[in-house]
Amino acid sequence: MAEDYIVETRSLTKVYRDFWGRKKKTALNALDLQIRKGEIFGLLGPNGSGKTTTIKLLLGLLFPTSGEAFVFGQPAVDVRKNERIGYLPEESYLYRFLNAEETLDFYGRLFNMSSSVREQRSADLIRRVGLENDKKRTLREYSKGMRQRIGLAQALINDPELVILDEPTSGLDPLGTIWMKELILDLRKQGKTVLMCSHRLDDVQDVCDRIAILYNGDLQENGEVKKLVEDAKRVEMRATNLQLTDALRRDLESLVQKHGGTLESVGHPTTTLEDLFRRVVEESKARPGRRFLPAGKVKV
Amino acid sequence: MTMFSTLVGVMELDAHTVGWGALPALLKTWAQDAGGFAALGLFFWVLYVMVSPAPAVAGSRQKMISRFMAITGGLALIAYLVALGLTIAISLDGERLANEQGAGPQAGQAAVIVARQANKLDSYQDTMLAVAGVLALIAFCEPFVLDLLRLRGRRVYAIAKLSFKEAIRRRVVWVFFVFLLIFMFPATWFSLGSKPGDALKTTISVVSYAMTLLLTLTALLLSAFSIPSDIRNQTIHTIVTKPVERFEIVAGRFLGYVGLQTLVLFALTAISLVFILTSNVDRAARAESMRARVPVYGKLEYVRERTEEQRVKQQAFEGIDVGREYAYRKYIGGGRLSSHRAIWSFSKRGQLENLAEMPAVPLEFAFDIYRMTKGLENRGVENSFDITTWKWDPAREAEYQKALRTAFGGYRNVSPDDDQVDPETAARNWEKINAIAEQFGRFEFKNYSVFDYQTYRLMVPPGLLKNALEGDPAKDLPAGSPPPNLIQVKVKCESESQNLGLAPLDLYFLESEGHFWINFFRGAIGLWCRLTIVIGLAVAASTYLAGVVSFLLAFCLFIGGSFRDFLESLAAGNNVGGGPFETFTRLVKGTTTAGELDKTPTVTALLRFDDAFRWGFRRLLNVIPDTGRFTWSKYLEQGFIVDFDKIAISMIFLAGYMLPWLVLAYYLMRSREIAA
Repeated sequence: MAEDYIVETRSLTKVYRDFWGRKKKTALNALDLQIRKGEIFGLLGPNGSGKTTTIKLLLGLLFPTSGEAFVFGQPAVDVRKNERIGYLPEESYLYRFLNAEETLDFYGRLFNMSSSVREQRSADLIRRVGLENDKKRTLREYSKGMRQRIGLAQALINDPELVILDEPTSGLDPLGTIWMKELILDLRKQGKTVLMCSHRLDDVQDVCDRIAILYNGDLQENGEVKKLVEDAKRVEMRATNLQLTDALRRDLESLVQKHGGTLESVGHPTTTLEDLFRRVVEESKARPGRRFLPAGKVKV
Repeated sequence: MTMFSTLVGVMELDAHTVGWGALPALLKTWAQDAGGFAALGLFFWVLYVMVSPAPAVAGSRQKMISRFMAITGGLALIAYLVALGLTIAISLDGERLANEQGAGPQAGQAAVIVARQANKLDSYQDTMLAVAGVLALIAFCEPFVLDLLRLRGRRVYAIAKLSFKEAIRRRVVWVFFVFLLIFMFPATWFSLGSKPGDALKTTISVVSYAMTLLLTLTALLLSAFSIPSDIRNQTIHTIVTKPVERFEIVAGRFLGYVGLQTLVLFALTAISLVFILTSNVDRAARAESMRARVPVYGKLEYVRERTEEQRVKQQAFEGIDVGREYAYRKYIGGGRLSSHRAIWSFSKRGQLENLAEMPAVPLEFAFDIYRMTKGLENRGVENSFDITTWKWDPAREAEYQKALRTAFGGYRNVSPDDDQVDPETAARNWEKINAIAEQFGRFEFKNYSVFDYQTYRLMVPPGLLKNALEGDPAKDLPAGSPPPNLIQVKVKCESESQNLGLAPLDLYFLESEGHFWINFFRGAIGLWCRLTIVIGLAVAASTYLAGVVSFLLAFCLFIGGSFRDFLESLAAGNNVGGGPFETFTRLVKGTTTAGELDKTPTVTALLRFDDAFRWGFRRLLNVIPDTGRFTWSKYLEQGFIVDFDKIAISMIFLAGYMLPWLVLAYYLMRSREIAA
């Protein structure tokens, strides 16, 4: 195993069986995967494709039927590797009778941290996930987004080298999603490796360096996001300070034909809905009050 | 002479009394039993490692079956094979003896073995089984012990604290306030139909039952559903993905609930104590039950003396079985000419030395009476006490009688608080009898009238004990004498056609008295032990089973503990009617339980099945907790101290019972797929 592989699986297979040992489903079939240090790796696939099973196998929550899984070069079932891992489950399965401070204190103890370290880490993380004002409320009073934030905080309590995120943006509003993506990118800047699985393709595309696509337990695609999504048969051009006129269109068409291609479309680019939403919220924060008025009404 | 109003009745605790001396033998039995289970566990573990694919991923199978485990397990297997060989040899030896004695071919094997005297083969087999058990235990516990070294107190504490908070914040502890309802009623309400003197006893009993029921159920509910609930809610995923050893979860949950129950038990015991101390109970009951006697017990034997002149020639017998359900207490026949005697022997010098310093040594007793005739109205059954030391020489009888005549003009019952004479005379008489007792090593008290279910006190002159303690019987007695006892208390029932029931703990010297309130808290330790068992069972079961199933399993095992005496009789084959196959045969043949079954080949074969059933049942009995051993409320009710030895020995029993369950929980948790 190469030293810079944080995660490696070799023909990793998981078959679910019933009480009598009869085969129910092959959740994962001979998965070969390598995740390098410092990258953000995405596991993609529809529901039931084997993403979560892979993560559970890597965390030792499940035992493989065959094949091998290594994390930091240690077998996946070895608990000692967990010292260097942070894990955020799909749903934030935390004890709802605890408040945020108690939650982080509890998980800090599980890492055998001293009292002073726990206090400092808890305070930093609560600030980082934006729950300072709600840290004394029990988790049962939290919204789903807040629970996801405290869930992420518990995953980072040990300052892990590998962060495993199962559907990290699930249940988050657009702002929460943006915040989560920025945080994931920030983790990469800190040199941490991130393994995330999601079926929100835009999120994965925005943050991941490499991805693997699973379908029905089989690995269908594996590689760098940029290369995988690149359409080598098409060429995109962008220009500024130009008026879109018929003359321009004709000129472009002849130019493209001259080079053996076919002009498909010429038009104004559109921004993403996410960018629009983000801009509106930021402007609203800067200048509170109603921005949109129905036609005919004049802003006072 | 002092007679208490009403008190103690018959102690039912003695059947469970185990001293330090019995521990080595018990430890050996434990090694055999627990070792057998360990060997079974080892077999299943090897099977799991070989069949399950998980070990391959864990690195290697060698990690899961270490060389040490393999070697020790192999040695255990060899030892078991040797033990099996010895068992076969014993069986052949039994058959050979049976043939020599002319037993017919139809004689049952069980009867042959019973008739056979134990010899060296049995001793070797016993030892080999213990050795094999110890080896199997070492092999099976090796990974458990190694992983224990990896446990971190901070992590275990975190999970324990979580369990604690969970119970508090989910308001489970509110259940305990139901307990307080009991105290809304006057204490006297609990003693319905009983004598006023039993009021405190009944109150303690009611409080004890209420606490046991409430705490046991709460402990069961909390501990049986904790781990399954964590697995169902997937909260356990965020724990096992931290560097947490699986057993730390078990240990944390177990210790958390034990800690919680300890605090609640302490609080409830304190509340109960305040309630008892402040309640308006009968003065006599308060004076009697609100005590913590420290007794010095002797060893009881029943003997038959042919005539008064032949006192030395005693024939041992087992006492009369009057057919009462509680067969532990045996009876001696009454009457002036009755040859039956009960003799308590006291041989522990250290205990008697403390007594010898008292101005008068209290000898307390409470006997059961089985009346063959109604007897005289308002008259108890009369008993005579003849207390002698090892120095008493029957040849000095005449000299002794002469000393009594000189002192009192003949025989007289003497006690320091004799209400037949004025206090000064009573004191003088006491000095005289003390001097005679010290000189001859004998003190008598005749025709002491006793009633059922009452405790009495006879004052013994300390001179008698001084006489017993002077010199060393081992050196002073001639060679070849039977093992000497320092003091013997011989009891004879004088009333015609009355039987006197006596059990080992029915008579004792009262060494001192402790504080009732301290004893009350000590008594609560018994309940604590039972709660620990319940929590341990439920947590261990919940590592593999669903919450409801764990609850039911722990509940059934715990309840089974309440019927342990009966189950033991089934396992030993002492019950009336025999095992299931014998019972079935009797039903088919229409033979009563008292009748002999014809030893036809079919019946003999069926009886063999009963042997197999009993063997299996004995194994089952090993997993049923002996809860009776930890039920100490009777001590409190009857005003006896729960001494340190009892607590310490009970803790050893507790550890011996819990250890295999914890090891089982370790393996189950270790091999479990949390997210499956």
